Amino acid sequence: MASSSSSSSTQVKKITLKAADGKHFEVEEPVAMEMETVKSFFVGNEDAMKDMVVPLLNVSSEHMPAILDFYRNHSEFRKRTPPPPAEEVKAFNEAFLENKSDEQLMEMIMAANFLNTKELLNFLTEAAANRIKNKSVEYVRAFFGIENDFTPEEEARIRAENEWAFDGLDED
Amino acid sequence: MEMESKNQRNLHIPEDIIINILRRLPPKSLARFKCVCKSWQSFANQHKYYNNKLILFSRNTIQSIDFEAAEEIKVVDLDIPFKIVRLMRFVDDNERPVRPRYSAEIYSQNSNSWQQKEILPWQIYRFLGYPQFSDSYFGVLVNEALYWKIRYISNDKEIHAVLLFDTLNEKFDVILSPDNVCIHKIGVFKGHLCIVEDPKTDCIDIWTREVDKNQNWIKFMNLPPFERKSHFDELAPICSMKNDEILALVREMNLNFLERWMKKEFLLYSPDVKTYKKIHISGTVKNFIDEITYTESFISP
Repeated sequence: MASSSSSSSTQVKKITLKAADGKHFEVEEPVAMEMETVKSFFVGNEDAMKDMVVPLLNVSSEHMPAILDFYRNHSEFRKRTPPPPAEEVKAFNEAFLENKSDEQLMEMIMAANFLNTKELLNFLTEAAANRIKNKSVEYVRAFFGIENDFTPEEEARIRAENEWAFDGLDED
Repeated sequence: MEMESKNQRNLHIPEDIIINILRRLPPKSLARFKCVCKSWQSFANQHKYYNNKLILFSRNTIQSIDFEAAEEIKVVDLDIPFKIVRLMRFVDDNERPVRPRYSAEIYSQNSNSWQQKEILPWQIYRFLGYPQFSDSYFGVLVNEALYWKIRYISNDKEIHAVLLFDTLNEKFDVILSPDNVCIHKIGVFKGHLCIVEDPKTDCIDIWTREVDKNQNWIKFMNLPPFERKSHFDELAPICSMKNDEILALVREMNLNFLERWMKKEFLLYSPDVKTYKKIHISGTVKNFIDEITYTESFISP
């Protein structure tokens, strides 16, 4: 249980996480516990020792450093008094998403979903919504890999009904 | 609903993630993405928006502010289709005694025209008193019904009341105010239709009947006094937000006859700490006559 990590110890306990491709990551305990999936591995599991390696079957090591960075920064933001200025949080979030392709973003969403962390999942799904909101129907199909199951006539009819929603789009 | 999909890297995306992304999209995007595939179309058709936004009416424009926006709170021109119900006052000279009556009309965006729905009974009338800023011209939309503050005549007595228009069945009804309290404003608090009582003291009482099974009015919320700069400053709660905070509008008045002005400012009241704080809005808020809350939906115009 979390109580075993007494606050009297000066050194922060570390937990080892194992990504899907076998790579190990040493993570400070409070940061690791931000992930519900890791937390539930220990909580209610009397046999689990803190030195056990937690396997994360659905998370590739490619995204682990970025994800851990997010948890570290955002837990620090939450603890800080007075709270950090909105610009600082915004700047971190923008830098976090910079240079991430659509595929990388979706993979991180899947990882956040598996790790069961609301804050990261909300942030990433909001980012995905922002990326697609001004895009064309064709772009969005490619983004999610969705096949068009309408006949050309059906699609033309729905398009005509919602004509107002088709102007002012970004380029694909 | 079959929503799962695979993208270029052959990543299998489960339905709950796709829905999590779709529900964050504004109505315009979701309307466009009805064309993506059948499952997205059925999601968009069923989706309801709960997010309260504010519409500001000025002479030539309709602007909107989303106070629950994730990043920046800003004012934008409204660009979605809408439906308008209006109450037109008229006097029928052939009728004795001569009384002003109201004709309820609905605007259709498709035909760009007004259509008369019905003429309201003479007992119903709208009273816009002085000073006008304490009275709302506009109806408030809650759970697909529109509400206006009215006066109702019953047994030769004038009663404070609320006029209701059910937008689905297009029917009118009248709800009398609790203990005939003077209604300052109608608003949406925690998703319920509420009336804000005209403050007798510096505190403001908010009533609702929606949480009471017998549909009786009950006192629902109470706001403490705010810090006034002058005796004429007025605070009007508008609606409640996600974390139970309350959005309010302050009208600062200078009635000095050499220099008369009125300033409007939005405040956020937090019930936890019982304090008011200012909200910063980017973009230029045009000088508006009135503000109403609205929730986007896909009801066809």
